[in-house]
Amino acid sequence: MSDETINAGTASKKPGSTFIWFLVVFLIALTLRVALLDRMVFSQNELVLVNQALQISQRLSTVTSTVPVYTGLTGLLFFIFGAGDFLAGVVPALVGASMVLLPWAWRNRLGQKTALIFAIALTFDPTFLLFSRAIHGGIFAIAGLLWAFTFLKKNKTILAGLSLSFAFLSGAPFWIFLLVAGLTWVAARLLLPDQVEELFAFQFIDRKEGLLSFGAGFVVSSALILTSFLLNPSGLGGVTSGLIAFILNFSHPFERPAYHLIYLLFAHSLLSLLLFTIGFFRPRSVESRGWYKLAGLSVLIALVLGLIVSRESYETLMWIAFVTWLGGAAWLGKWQFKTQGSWFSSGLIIGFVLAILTYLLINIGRIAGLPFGTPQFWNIFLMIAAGVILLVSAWWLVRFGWSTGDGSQLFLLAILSFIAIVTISSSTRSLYQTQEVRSLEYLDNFLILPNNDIKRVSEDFALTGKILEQSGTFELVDLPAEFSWYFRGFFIERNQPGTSVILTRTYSMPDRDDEYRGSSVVLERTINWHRETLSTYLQSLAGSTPAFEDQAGVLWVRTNLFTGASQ
Amino acid sequence: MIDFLKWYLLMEVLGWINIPVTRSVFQKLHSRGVYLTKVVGLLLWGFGYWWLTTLGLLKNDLAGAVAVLVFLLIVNLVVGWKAGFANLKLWIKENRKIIITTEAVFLVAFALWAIVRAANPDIIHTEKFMEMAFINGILKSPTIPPQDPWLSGYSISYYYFGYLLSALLIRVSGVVSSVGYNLVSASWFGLTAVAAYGVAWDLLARRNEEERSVGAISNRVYLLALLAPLMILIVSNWFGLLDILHARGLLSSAFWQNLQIPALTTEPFGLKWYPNRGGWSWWQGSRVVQDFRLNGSMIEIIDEFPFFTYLLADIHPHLLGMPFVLLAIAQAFNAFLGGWKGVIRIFGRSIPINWQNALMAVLTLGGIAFLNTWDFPFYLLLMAIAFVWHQASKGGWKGQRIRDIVIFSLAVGVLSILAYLPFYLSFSSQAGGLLPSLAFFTRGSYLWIMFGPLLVPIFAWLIYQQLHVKKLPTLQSFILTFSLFALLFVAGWGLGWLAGKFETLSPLLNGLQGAADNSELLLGSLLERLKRPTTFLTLFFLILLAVDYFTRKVKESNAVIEDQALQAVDQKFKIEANGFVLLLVLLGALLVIVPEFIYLRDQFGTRMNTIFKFYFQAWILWSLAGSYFIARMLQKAKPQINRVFALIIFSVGLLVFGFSLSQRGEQLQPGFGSNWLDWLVLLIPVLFLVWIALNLVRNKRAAALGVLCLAGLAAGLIYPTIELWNKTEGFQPRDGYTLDGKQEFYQYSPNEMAAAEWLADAPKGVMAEAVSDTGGSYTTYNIISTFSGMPTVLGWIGHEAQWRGGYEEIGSRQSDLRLLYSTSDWSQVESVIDLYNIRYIVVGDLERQTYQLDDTKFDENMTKVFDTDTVDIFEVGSP
Repeated sequence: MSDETINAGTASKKPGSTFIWFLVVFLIALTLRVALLDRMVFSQNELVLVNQALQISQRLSTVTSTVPVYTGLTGLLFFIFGAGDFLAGVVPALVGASMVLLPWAWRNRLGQKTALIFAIALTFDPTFLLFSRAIHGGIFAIAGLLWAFTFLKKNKTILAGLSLSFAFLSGAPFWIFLLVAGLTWVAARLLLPDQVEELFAFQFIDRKEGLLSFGAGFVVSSALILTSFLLNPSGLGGVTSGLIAFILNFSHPFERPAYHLIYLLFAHSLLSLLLFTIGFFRPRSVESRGWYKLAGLSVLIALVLGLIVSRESYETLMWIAFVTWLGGAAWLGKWQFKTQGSWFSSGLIIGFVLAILTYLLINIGRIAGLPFGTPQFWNIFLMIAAGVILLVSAWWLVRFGWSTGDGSQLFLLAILSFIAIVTISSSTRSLYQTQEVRSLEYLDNFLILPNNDIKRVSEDFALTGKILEQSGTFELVDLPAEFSWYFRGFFIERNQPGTSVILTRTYSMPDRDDEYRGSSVVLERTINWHRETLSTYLQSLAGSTPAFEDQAGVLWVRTNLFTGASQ
Repeated sequence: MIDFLKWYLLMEVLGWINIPVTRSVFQKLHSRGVYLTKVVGLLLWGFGYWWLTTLGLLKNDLAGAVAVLVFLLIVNLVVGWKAGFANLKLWIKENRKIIITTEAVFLVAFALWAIVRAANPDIIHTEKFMEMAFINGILKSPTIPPQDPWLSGYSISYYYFGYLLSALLIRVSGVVSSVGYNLVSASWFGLTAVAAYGVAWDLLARRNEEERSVGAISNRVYLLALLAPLMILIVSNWFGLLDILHARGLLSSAFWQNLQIPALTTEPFGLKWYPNRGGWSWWQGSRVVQDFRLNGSMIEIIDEFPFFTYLLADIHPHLLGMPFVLLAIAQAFNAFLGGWKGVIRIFGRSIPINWQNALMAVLTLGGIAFLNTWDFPFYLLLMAIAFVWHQASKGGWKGQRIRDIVIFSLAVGVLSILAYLPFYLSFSSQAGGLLPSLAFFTRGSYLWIMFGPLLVPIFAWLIYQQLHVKKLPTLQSFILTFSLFALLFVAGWGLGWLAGKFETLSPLLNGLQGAADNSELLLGSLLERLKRPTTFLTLFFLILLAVDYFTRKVKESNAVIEDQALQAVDQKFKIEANGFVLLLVLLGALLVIVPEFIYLRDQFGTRMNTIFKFYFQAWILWSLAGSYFIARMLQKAKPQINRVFALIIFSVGLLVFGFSLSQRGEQLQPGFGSNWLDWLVLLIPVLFLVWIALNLVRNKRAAALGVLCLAGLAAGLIYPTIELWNKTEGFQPRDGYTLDGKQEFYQYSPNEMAAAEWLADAPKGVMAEAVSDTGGSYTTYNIISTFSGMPTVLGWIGHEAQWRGGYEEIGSRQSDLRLLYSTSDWSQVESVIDLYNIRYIVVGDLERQTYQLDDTKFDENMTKVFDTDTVDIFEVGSP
């Protein structure tokens, strides 16, 4: 076999193997986003959207959705497959997972390694993971805008139009991201005019067919999504609901303290921030210095806008995470790790550092739960201090043994690996264990029926051999309509005699002819962030879970359902 | 203040968005219709929104409203792009004077009337409840056609387009509906003012151009055009003049008795220049015209004019239609000048009209029918004649022009109906045919009291023009005028004679008009008219002189053309602004003369509604004409002298007003001249006479006539001055300034207001509340459904019957509600609940007063969802 053939063969294998890696990453991302989706606890705003999708599927829609892309697509899914918790979350999950493919689309510009690292980062990033599993317009907005840009660069105008329609119909987040992107573009024109001109040069603008197909793609997909593929013709009004929601957002109060956004940034985006910061101060090339400055400015813009605009949810964090990961991945992608020492000794040092860091993490977690000033607090504080001293000493010593550069690299690798492991574990725990806290951190501040009590009672009832949903109607007393999602299986015609299930906010039995048996349920779960002081935020950073505040209610079930006695 | 600003901003956005479309429509007007952008915007926005919600493509909510607005913006951007944005920019720069002026007129008028409303904002009395109920019903209704808030299960059976536009503005501006109600009144005042100003400006600018072909429009045109909004909106009938004379005890008792205006037949309360009739003194201004049966009994006729309508502040269809009527007039003028020139080809046929104007005409006329159906045929006729007249100026007047008018009217009329077809499918009218007006006719004194301020300039101009041509009216004019009257006479007496042949109809008609039998009705009516011919003569001569202009033009078109200027443009006769204004005069005359012979049959059976609607439109048309004529006459006068006299008379007028106010509590001596104020009052007519004389001496006959007309206007300003002061409590309202029309209810019915607010946000469902035994019209019954928008089982019975032409839909609701509240048998209550699908039952003071209420049954069987000291709301059972 000649050299050319070997080289040709090797060259043809390389893209293929990279693609496989990307595919694996995508599958992991998809798995993370859809796993345990049916066990998600919904927040109040999420339930509003879910209920709207349900109404669309039942052709009973009366209200214009504020996130038409979600309700339009999910309503169609409900119509075809029937409403369920899994299907309620699958559309954002798929859209979120698609973001992991973005680096693949830009691999020629980013470089294969950088693109792959970026994809892995987007897979495991807690912010992206949360918004991919949340019923919120944010993931549609950012994914739609980025894919639209990508497709336009690749001259795929119809797909670009489709993507833009996804973004446009995502509600208020579209306008927030548009604002951020717009200001970033303005900054880019000032800082890097030539590069930006090249980046924003689109072929389709010069061709009438290109513009037409882009427009057609946008209009047709918007019309289909708004009307939920003709299930809800009056949904066309949703074309402006995003803009209205964006404007009305400014009339809502801030649900959490101003520094909540900063807290989230440090709590869940530490790795990306760290990598970006390193890349910012130590760029790999002269050309990239300008890009890092622009990215830094963009992060600042998103942060400031987030502080101003974010009243209930913090979607701007996705932009910050995206940009910082881009910078971080670019730095990591060009990192060529080399040491003078052997791999074994390097491994030992890394292991040692990891152990110290783990030790420190455990003790920080312990101290976070202790009141300040107590003897136990000081004990653990001293242990932490000892760990820090050990770490610093080790670093100093290693620099003697190895070169300064090598030593720093080893430590950096260890620290980065540690934070990466912590981040990944945090992400995976957010699928179930810490899902509620995450939702309350990022989305609106009320979780509805977090213990899934209706399902539990229904399952208990099933032990009697009957199906609760088929036994009659339900009633909500002093509760918002969003709660009806959990009763979607019930017969809902009004004025039917003998309501079989009543959910009340108070403990007193509503005045009815029949007898009811009550069981306590948690109606709403929230965290009083305004009561949480700055020190408690710091404790949360250290791993302590903030205290929930539950609002209890009662689920009343008609007694004669259990006995089978007639009325 | 914030609400005012939000509303103003929205109106401005609407206006500025629609500049490109408006410009493209009004090609021949000097101003390109810039003063109509807000009205055009409202029309297109409302039309688009109404259609899309009716088809179910949009929901009746904020998002839908904004979506259509955005679509309208896109359409205008496309139109602007096609015309060239650079051209648009240049045009705005060149016409900034008229743009700024019209914006200023709108703002001042809007703000002024907002202040007036803020001084007496209450949504109470007369039919304000009805309008508030419509608006809230539309806001609360998820779909269009909107639910009838006073008859659950049915949609509104009324021309509700104006209320839909109001609801759109309220929804998008975010103001509370009870504030929006007053802002609608104020902004419509502004829209009417600026539209009237603009039309007058265009007329005068056109005349300016006809007289000297080049040159900028003079400042005087900008000033004189203000006469139009003044005459349409502020100047009132001469009732005010009579009122002060009556209050001062002038003129004999026999005079007042003979005049037979009810408010003035009794002796005045004390003698003073400021009338002190107390109560609703302003009301009487709209009750000048009286009808008399042959047996002498009197029937009240409503003769509203715009100032009264705005002062009353019921946002009725005739008020809501005003800006759109002026839009139609502007379109007709544009057609008159040839602005509709173009060709539409359909199925191989060419129609000589451009599609923009065709579309706009259809939308406007259809909109007018949807706003206030009564107006539709007249403005259709105006457009038809204006369009065909322009065609005739090119091709000459032939018999086929009449055919053209008919075809145009039919085609545009049918298209206008089709454009708003869903409305007609759900609308049932109370109108039930035509009745002959035999015994009923307007006495000359009433006609002149009612229209005096407008008739004076019209007659002044017509006579002046006739003297100018130095010819008597042509024979053709006389024949045409006589034929019109003859035709109407035949129609009226013919119908009367025919009705006499039907056994069921004859006694009805005879009884209605006070005759023992049909022959007495026919003959007796004729005799009465002969005894009082003033109205007939007034209108005859008015029509004769106006028609004469057109017959002369037709003669010109048939004669050999010697005018080279006309030859050059291949025109048979000149198109002049005067001609269009005379069309307005003729149409106004038609509106006044027709009810003298026939009127529309409705629930009341009298001419009341016909006179009301027709005279109102005649006021608009004649005001425009009158303002144009006065402006033309004054244009030739020396401005300095005019200004001096105007200032002096205005100052004296203010002094008279001020002093008469201060003397309100005093009793003056009888006899003119016993008080110094008498002489001050006399100074005003004297100054006018001097002013006239000065002009005559300087050989400015036209100016002298103009001043005479101003004197007539001044007499028409007495009523608005006094009654505005009365209605606003001297602009010192005891409860302070507020635009919230519910403010009085917060004080006197706080629990009902709280209940209404709760229901406004509650999930939708049918509510039950008390209905008065006597129907409840004009009372505060149904206050909760009115202010919440929640549909109630039954509201004002009389009004529902009027709207639906009977009681069929109402059925047994009144008695069913009595059963619901009074019975102690729960199964009966349940049957009523099931029958009407009631969700909420209100139990408050009204219910306790109206029914023998047993409210323990509600406590035992329903859930109390709202609770105050006096008002509870029970809910049947939530889904």
